[in-house]
Amino acid sequence: MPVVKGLILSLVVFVLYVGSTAVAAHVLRPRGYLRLFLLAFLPCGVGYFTLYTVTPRDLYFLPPTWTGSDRSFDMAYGFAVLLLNCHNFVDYFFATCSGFSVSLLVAILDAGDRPITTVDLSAKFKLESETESRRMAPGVGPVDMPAAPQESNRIYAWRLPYLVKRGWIRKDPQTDHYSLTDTGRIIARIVQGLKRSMNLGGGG
Amino acid sequence: MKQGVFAAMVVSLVWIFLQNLLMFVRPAENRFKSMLTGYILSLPFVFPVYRWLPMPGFVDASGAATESPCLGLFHAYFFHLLLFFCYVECFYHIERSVSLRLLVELLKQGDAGAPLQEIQGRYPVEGMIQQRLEVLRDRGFIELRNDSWHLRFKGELLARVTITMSWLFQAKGQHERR
Repeated sequence: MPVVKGLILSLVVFVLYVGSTAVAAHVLRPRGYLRLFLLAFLPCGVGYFTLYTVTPRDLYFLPPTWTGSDRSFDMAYGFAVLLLNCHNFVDYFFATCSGFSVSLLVAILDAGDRPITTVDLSAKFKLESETESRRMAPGVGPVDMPAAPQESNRIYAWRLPYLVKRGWIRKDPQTDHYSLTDTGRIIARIVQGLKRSMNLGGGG
Repeated sequence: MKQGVFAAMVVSLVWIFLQNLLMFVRPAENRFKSMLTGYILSLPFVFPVYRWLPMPGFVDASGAATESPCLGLFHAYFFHLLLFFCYVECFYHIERSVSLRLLVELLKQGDAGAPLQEIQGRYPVEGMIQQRLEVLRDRGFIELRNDSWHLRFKGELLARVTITMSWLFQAKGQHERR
């Protein structure tokens, strides 16, 4: 029975996963990438188990000494490797393409030979430096309007509505106060506990 | 193979636990360096654990005798490496995520919550940028010359890889979002 079959198939499926998400991103142009990566993982997971079931034990080329262990464990191990690889890839994607620190590096690169100071970099994250910002008004479509005070920078402008949409925080319409929902409170407590267990400061 | 996966999990759990414990005794300024050191120091322990640590009784170890020992060891080191990557990435999610920091700030405010101005006051964007630029400079990604920031080799490489990834996935960086 196979020993490395699960590993080989998981690596093949992982390559397909990266390729298919890149193609899907070009076609769909998603705003939220987590959903894309999660949705793409479902067919890949099913594909892995299907491939494992329909292919021979030796994958046509594996020597007998490499095919001598528990089949179900090998299948589970391959799936665990696939999960870890996909997790590593998605994390790397978010750390680079959506990472705050990396976006500072890209902003410095974009500046080319022009000098760029800390103030210039801060200005790149402020929306108020633009006199008008294009927004999508419900039922109307794109409109030009001044950025609201709470949307005065790129860090909070998309993040707060996103967190509200995910159901982690809520905004009181009367007081304009933001507070945690039950889900948000659980996540915040877990994060706080993990930060303490690692002796970390506020971070962020 | 089972022995290899078991060895990888045991060694990873032990070094991660010890490394976090050490952070209370002597906190490292460069956490990535300390994690990498922990991982490298744990490498020699994978082989003895794989070779001599008995598997727990509930694991069916039948068939292990017919397996190639080299392959078992390969699985041990490979899985150990994947767990290291997973740990580092989870660490940075917890340590650096702006969204998670925001949730923790709101947790401190209690049920009443806080208006945005107050949250921003406690966690201003200028502060975030300043803090990150200093970290990037300390890690050798950028340098400050005549009050202007410049990329060093490592920083330029990462920025170019990011631009390629962003094009490949049609993603926008945080400085381009609205």
